[in-house]
Amino acid sequence: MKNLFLLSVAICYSQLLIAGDIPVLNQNYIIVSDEFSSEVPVGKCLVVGTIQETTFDYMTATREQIPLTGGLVSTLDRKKTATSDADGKFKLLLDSKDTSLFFYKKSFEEIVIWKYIFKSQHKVTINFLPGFNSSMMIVDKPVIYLYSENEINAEIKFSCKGDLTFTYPTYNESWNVIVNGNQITESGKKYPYLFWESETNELEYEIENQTMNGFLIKTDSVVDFLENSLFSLGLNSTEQTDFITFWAPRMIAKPFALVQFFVDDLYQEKISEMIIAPTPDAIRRVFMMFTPLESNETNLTILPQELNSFERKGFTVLEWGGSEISTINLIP
Amino acid sequence: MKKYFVGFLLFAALNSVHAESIMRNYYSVVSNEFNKDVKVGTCLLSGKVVDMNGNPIQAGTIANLDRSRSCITDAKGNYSMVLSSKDTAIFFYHENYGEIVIWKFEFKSQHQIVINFFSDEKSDLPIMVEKPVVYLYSDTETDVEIVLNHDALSFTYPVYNKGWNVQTTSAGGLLDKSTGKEYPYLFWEACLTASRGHGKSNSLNYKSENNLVQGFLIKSDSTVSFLEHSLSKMGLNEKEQTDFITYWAPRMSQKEFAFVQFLVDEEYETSIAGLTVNPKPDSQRRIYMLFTLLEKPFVFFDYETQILPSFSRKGLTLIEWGGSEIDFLTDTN
Repeated sequence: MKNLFLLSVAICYSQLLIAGDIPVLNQNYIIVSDEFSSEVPVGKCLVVGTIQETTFDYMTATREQIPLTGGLVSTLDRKKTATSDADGKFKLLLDSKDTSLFFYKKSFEEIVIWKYIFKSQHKVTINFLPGFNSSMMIVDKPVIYLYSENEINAEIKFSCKGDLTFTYPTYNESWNVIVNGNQITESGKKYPYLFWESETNELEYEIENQTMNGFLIKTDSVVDFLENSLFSLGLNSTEQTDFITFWAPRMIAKPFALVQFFVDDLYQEKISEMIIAPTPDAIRRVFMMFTPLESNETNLTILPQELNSFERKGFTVLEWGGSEISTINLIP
Repeated sequence: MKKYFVGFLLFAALNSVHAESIMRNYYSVVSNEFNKDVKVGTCLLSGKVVDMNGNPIQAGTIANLDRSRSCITDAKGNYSMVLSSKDTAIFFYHENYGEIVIWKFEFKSQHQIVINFFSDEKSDLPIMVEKPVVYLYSDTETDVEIVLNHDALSFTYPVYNKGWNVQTTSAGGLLDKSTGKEYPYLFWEACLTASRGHGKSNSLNYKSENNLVQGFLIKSDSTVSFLEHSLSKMGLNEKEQTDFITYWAPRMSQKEFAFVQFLVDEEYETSIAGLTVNPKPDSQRRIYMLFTLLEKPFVFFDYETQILPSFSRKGLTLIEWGGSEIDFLTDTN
């Protein structure tokens, strides 16, 4: 029985799809059975199953599945929920109208089953096999470009949510630089931009009454989308290229993506507070929040976000960054 | 002695790479008995290493962790060696097969132990060739055609259509003929899928000569200075160095140590991707970084410090850099 299980895990993993040569994590759950049962009321569907995590014994080189307690299994609207018991088992009575189910437990990856037909009077056995996952989000690659026609000295200070994980050049309470044209000089060395990265668990989309100003895009058009959006926001071609070559390869991992930009004030409020002396004549800060999605189905109403340009003049500062937001943060 | 393997498993799943190999690389302790003929304080270890079809794996290394005692498997996959009873761990390593480490094993004095290893070829593991960027510089505006010899491109920018046709600009950028727009560099990314040739692997791995790998074992807290020094030695300017470092250094700092090898110029050409550039650049430097994150300053192979070639720019100059993370199948925790 155990061998059989391992085998099914093997099959499961071997199904990891390579779509367009991009490795995609696909199945981390197994539909063990889906059968008619006269004991289930009409219009209902009984879902049972086990949540298991995988451990490895180095001594015997064997893998073992152990039950995971306290995992949440729920419909997307959270109207029907169940928690796994000490044996990792859960039981949930769904309506046959329900179409999606998700698993969630802190520190584990979330698993969403989209568009499953939970047939009336059926008993479905689903096993979830979540991998371990840290819930930390990374504020990835904010880069700061500084421009000035006349050579000036500038001091940049910022404080971000979460912990700084990397800066370049080294940030030590501030960056003190000389700006000349598009060149930044710090301690005698030239840099095209300043770089920082941090880890936080406080990032959330701006959503009000299930309505979000943003975009749900098909990722096969991600490059056009980003070029248009970034152009609207006033990024020049170098800034656009740096942005696109960093984010686009990650965004095409799934067929759809939810995107929202935090611009200027929202950036300052939600991502990092920055103080620059002397005060820039023009400043633009763009942060992209995004979530790769398997499907374009959502409970959210998405209104196209308005993107406005800005005018470069004198001492100009441009910053961009982004973060991949996990699916679970979309579930109300 | 149960250790959670979940993180590793998730990693494997995410990369869709090692999953099968996890299932298939293992060992079995056939016997472990007292033998008075074995000297006190030592332990006689022998066995056989075979692949998943039962074919012997020749020229694999079996060694203790500091490699003070090691032996090589023969044509029949057999090995035999004497360990100290103080040894606590051994590993199997072959550049074309999955690594296997046996941690915390008691090699008892005057014991004779038979351990067989089963390992699978690494050859069908796809590896991401990450972020190669190509810069082109010329004092005069020059039309250049660049063709990549790679058939599994996953992302390019600007769009690559059987080639890039660009014009160098005085500002150091590139004007793409098909989009009419200017870019600071050309970008491509690919999946390196190796063909499965029996006993001969094309998969991306550290290059070695006479079983000696040229590279660096660094402490992660010195990653930035290591990269600045190495890249500047190999001729990257400050802008290129910053692009490289801000892309890779955050990832390299995730564990305490890292092993690094650079594939430069010809090795880049043969291992990663050929590049046909017309007209031919007057100077060209291509740098590809292979690295492995490590918990301990330990690698499975012998290595010596890599000597990095210097570079001087002249005329039409092409610079390219990229990299890949190489993961050992076994965590060195």
